[in-house]
Amino acid sequence: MTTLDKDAMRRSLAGVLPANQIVTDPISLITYNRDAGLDPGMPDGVAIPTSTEDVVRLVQWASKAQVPLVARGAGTGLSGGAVAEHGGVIVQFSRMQHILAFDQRGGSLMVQPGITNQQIDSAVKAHGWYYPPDPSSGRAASLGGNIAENSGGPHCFKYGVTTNYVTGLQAVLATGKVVHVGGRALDYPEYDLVALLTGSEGTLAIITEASLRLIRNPPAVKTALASFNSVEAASQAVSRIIAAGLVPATMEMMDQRFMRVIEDYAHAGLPINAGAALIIEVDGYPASLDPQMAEIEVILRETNAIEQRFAKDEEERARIWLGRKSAAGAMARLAPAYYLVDGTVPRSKLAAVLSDVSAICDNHELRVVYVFHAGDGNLHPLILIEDPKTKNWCSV
Amino acid sequence: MIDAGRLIVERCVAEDGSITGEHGVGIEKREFMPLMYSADELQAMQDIKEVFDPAYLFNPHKILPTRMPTPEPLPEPGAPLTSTFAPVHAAEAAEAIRAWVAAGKSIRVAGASTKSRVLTPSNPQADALLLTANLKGISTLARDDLYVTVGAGTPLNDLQEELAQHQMFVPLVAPWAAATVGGTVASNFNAPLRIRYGAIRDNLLSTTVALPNGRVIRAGRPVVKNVAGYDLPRLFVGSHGTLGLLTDVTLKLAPLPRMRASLIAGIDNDHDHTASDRALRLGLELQRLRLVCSALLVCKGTYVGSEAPYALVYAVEGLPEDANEELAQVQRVLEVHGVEEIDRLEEMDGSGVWANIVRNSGSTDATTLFRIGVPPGELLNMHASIASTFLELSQVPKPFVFDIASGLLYFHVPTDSLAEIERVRAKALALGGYGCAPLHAGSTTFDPWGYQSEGMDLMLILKARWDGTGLFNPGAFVV
Ligand SMILES: Cc1cc2nc3c(=O)[nH]c(=O)nc-3n(C[C@H](O)[C@H](O)[C@H](O)COP(=O)(O)OP(=O)(O)OC[C@H]3O[C@@H](n4cnc5c(N)ncnc54)[C@H](O)[C@@H]3O)c2cc1C
Repeated sequence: MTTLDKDAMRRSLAGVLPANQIVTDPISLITYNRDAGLDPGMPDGVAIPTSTEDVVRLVQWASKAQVPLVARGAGTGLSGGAVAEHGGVIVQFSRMQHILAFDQRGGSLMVQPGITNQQIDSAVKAHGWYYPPDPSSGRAASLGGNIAENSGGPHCFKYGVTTNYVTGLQAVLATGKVVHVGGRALDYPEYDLVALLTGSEGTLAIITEASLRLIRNPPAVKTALASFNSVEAASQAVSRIIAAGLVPATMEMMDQRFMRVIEDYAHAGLPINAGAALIIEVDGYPASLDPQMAEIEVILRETNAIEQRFAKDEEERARIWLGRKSAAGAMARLAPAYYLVDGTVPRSKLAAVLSDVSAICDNHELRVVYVFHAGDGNLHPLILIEDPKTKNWCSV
Repeated sequence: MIDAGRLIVERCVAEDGSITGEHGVGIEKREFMPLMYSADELQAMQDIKEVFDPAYLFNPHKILPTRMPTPEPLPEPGAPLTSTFAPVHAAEAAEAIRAWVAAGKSIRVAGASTKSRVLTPSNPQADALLLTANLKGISTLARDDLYVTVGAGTPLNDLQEELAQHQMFVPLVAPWAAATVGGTVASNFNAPLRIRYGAIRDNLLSTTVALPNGRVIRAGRPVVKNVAGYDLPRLFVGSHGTLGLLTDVTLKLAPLPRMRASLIAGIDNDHDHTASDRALRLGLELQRLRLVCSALLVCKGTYVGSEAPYALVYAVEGLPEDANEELAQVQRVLEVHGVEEIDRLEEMDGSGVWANIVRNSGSTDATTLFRIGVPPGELLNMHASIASTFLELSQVPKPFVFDIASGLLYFHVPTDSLAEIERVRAKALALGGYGCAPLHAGSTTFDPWGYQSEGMDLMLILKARWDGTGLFNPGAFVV
């Protein structure tokens, strides 16, 4: 498309939605040049719908004008999903954040896609319900982005990921047609189009409403931190806990290098002389937490944990989590940028794969630290980028 | 650095893992997709893209690699051998499908041979029968990684027996002894325990499928977190064999619970409510207590030894401390509401109660199993409008069961009075739900599904894309 074409396209876009819902000035567009990942791409315009009807108008326009549309929530995605790589118009959902229905009796929630994880969490927890998917970016990340990426978080080992909680969607198809697939009931006699749209990274349709299934908020939690000589030893403990038939709500692992980086920054009291540490959290009724932790304690001892700390109150729990949650800030002090490689393996392969990852990084003279969801085999090596002028980098 | 990234994801793929667990493919990993998926698998994903968005309007150039690998040309189809075939692996199934399709023969898929009515609505017109009977047995039991890969034709009961020796199980229950694992998955027949362990769609990690176009794909991988490309495994759950033959399935394993127990309460009417209304209200009230609940049911006509017309079942499983505490809370709520007849049964499994009712009502040709699904919070409304005019009438045989937590109601109608069901269906549709007869073969006068999905156009395009001639399992489902 030539510059002239682009000008014409922008003028035509201006007729689709009111002026305060369209952004085309080049300075403002810079904000949309990236998400939290590596790859840039400048959009030709941004449209900010306030309703499904707005989205339909945009899709009809884009289809006629042959302009690509890129849906965008908060832009915290890490793989370039919300970037208009080849131009086109970004459809940004910050003004569609409402809760449309909250069925407290049935335990379901209907929302617009711009709502954040944090907003959902506070709305439902106040009434004793819980929406488990909890990406670490949840303060900003939108549900539309969560659905499009099928996001997970530290509690996924026990509770599953986004797709396990989405029962219905309203979406605008490329034809401009609005469809509801699934709904607030279960097992509709249709192909599972809800599942196809979930995790489709904005490439199949634009999601304009979602129905979510809620579960009861666990009445109590207990948190422990255990340290080990090595990642292998910590992985062994994870396997033993699972083999015992226990299902902790979280098992997060940090290696020594990660802990040292964090400790310098957050002073969270992490066991920096250990090779690895595990944050283990169990939840349930208060009466079950001590017996669960007692069993875990035995397993940790048998798997040669160096040290075990059990949080006695909310303050101690927050302190254990402080280290894990300070990752982004701490990493920024260490290197101007990092490259986070997100892969999964069957859990029993984790220790072996991590030692190979370290070898790969050594061979490439790259510094790497590890922090990851150990329960579900999701490794997250953070490769430090010493010089962000090299071709690919990701700002923190 | 990107080289190192590539080596790392290659390492994950070598362990049968995924190139991305939660951050997506987007731009960053699209060129890695061929590391993980075959040309046929990528083609299946591109098909999905083009079904939804043929003009590539939405987020173009993401997920799929810039240069798609070309699928191998398929060999010339051979001559169809027999009209009934039970392949031993996926490639053999694909070969048979190609041969039959080339000869213009329609194909019906069936699980456990003669029990074809079990979870596979019969389609007597088909020219050829593709059986999963020889796709049997566990091929991988990964206890540490909590998954099992099993042939689709394996009876679910056999699988559970074998797993029990390892103190494990898969959280699926089929009411019929002959039901196969593949049939249960393809029909998406969910037992009440789904509220504790997730539905079938949440327990299926991966499946190998012989598509109607003669290609074989492996959808998904045996890891719980995998967001590389479109979620193909779930597409086959509940597709009733119309999108391909599942040849093996990989399911999540769960450790056998340390404790199972239930409360069963007899519910009669009080001055404000009829017995059924009261039972449902109590059930909905108990919804908020569910933490380790594995079934929350209201049943009519099953509670042996009780005079009360309705029974409320609340089953739990898990750690004894959690299970006991939850039952104590349930008991208190019931007592506060004046329920006197409450029994505690150890080892009673709520899904077993459900299975008994569903099995009994589905066992004869004279009656048809019917399922209504509504948002759980609407169960009372649903019930109110059909109780006196339909459900309590003598022609609806007892027992029937409400799976409260899932918003489902199962009952059984005499096949000759199916016409009356349309009224009931209309009510369910008005409440945002549906009503269907999942085991009914269908006829010109009765549509077993009775639901017009707003995604029907997409479903038809997808079906046509993989089964252009419409020969694969025709009539088994809505497409
Ligand atoms: C510090 C940090 C921590 C993170 N931690 C986690 C984590 O623990 N777990 C995890 O899974 N992810 C994590 N992420 C990744 C990211 O935050 C999640 O993927 C999040 O769900 C993206 O939401 P978003 O609103 O920012 O989406 P965006 O980045 O705006 O968009 C992501 C994708 O969603 C699509 N999209 C957005 N809205 C819609 C819509 N309405 N319809 C259709 N498509 C749409 C976009 O086109 C794009 O493809 C993290 C990111 C950061 C920066």
